[in-house]
Amino acid sequence: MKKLNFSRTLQLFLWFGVSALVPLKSLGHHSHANYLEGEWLNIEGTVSEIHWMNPHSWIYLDVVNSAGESKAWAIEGASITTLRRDGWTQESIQVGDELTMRCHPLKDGSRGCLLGYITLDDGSEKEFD
Amino acid sequence: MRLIKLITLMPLALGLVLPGVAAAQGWIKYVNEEDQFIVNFPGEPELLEVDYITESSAIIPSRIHSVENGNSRFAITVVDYTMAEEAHVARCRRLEVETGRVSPNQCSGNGHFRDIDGSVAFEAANIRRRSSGEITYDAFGRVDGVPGHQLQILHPDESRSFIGIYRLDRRLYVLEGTVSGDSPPPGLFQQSLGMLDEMGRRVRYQSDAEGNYSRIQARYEYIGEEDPVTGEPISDFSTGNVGRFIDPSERTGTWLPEASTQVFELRTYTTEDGKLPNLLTLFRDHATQLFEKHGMTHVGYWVPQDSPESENTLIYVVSHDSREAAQESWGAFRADPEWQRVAEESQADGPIVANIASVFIEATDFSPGQ
Repeated sequence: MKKLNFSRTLQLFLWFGVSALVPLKSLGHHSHANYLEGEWLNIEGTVSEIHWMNPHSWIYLDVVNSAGESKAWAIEGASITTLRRDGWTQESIQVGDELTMRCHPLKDGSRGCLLGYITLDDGSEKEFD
Repeated sequence: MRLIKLITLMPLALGLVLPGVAAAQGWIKYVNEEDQFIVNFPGEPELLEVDYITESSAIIPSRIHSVENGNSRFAITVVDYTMAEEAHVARCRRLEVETGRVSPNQCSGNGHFRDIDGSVAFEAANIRRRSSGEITYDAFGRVDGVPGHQLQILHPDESRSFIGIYRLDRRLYVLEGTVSGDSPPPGLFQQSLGMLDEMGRRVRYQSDAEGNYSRIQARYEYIGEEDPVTGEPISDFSTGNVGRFIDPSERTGTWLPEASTQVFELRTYTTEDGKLPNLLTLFRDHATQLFEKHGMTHVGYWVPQDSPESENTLIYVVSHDSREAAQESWGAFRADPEWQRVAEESQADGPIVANIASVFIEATDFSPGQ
């Protein structure tokens, strides 16, 4: 999956609410108390950096907000080991890719989010946690 | 509270700085066995040794490992409470000299345990006290099952700090990542801490159904070299329960970057007599473009200056993401219909290549570009 084909128009869709979906499985390394695990945030953006690291992978995403400003977000994912097990590879996501994802926002409103799911080309969601 | 009394500012150049995927993106894994931690850093940390004043005013050593990166700063302070008892004795003697008497409440028994038990709360209070910003998050947290505290601060200039404070036995770990308002929050740093035991094994606890914590083996307990793709250990040492013994003097400050799998391939083509121009044309017009198409990266193409090799030899180097990628690229290249067509056309008057030699090579530690 070299490129994820999404809308070229980057928009931030915020819709907070108690989700009926199953909560994310535990990452194990650290507690997620600083994230709103009962709420979901849908965002779209362009990958500026991808950190394929342990104990967690991180995607830095440039997201255009409702005011038309591009802001950098830090998106936390699982460890390399877990991602690999789930079928992700180092080549799955590249800098410049446009991504749509669903994640748990930080409680303090800063631009961080805990994955969550990434939407694939066919519209389905794949766990990145 | 920190009292900078003894300053030893020295780059941690004790280990190797190796190229790698993570290093190329600016973040590497860093392990320090003397202070018993592993963490992700965006560059080479500097070390500052400072005195730390405990809640009961005892003075104990601490070490700050920090990286300044533009408007960002990432630091882990390791406070050594193994010296707490001795420090309390010293404090009592100091009080005796200064006041002529010692309060039994201050110096009796094992008072240093109060400092140790309260170390996380004390440091969190210190941070709140010195902060001029808005504390946007302030709550209990765990890393690898080790209890601690997390703080997030929005500063007046819109920069943000993400802080984690954890104590394992008699070491207090304080992570502070601060970035400008334009940058993504520094969770990558804050959430990367791993604590090690005296044997260099990563420490991890897990609770049972009753909430009782016990130490377990973690898949990432191993701190040695990992496969950059799978994250699995790739050296002889396993993630076995015994872990890995490492001489602290041997590995302190050693970088453990994500190992790069990039390989270079040196290829030497010897042509049939008089066919070097044909080969060069084939490469100039077709092969090099097809190399790119199939994921190879050009490094350089050369012909010898001296005869007889100057008349029949082409030498070039390409790089691949890995040996496996090389195999895939060459397979796709050879199967490419365009290559098959132009290769056949180039041999209309007979073969042009007499021999091909391929050697996969990697840069030495003293090679430029490391």
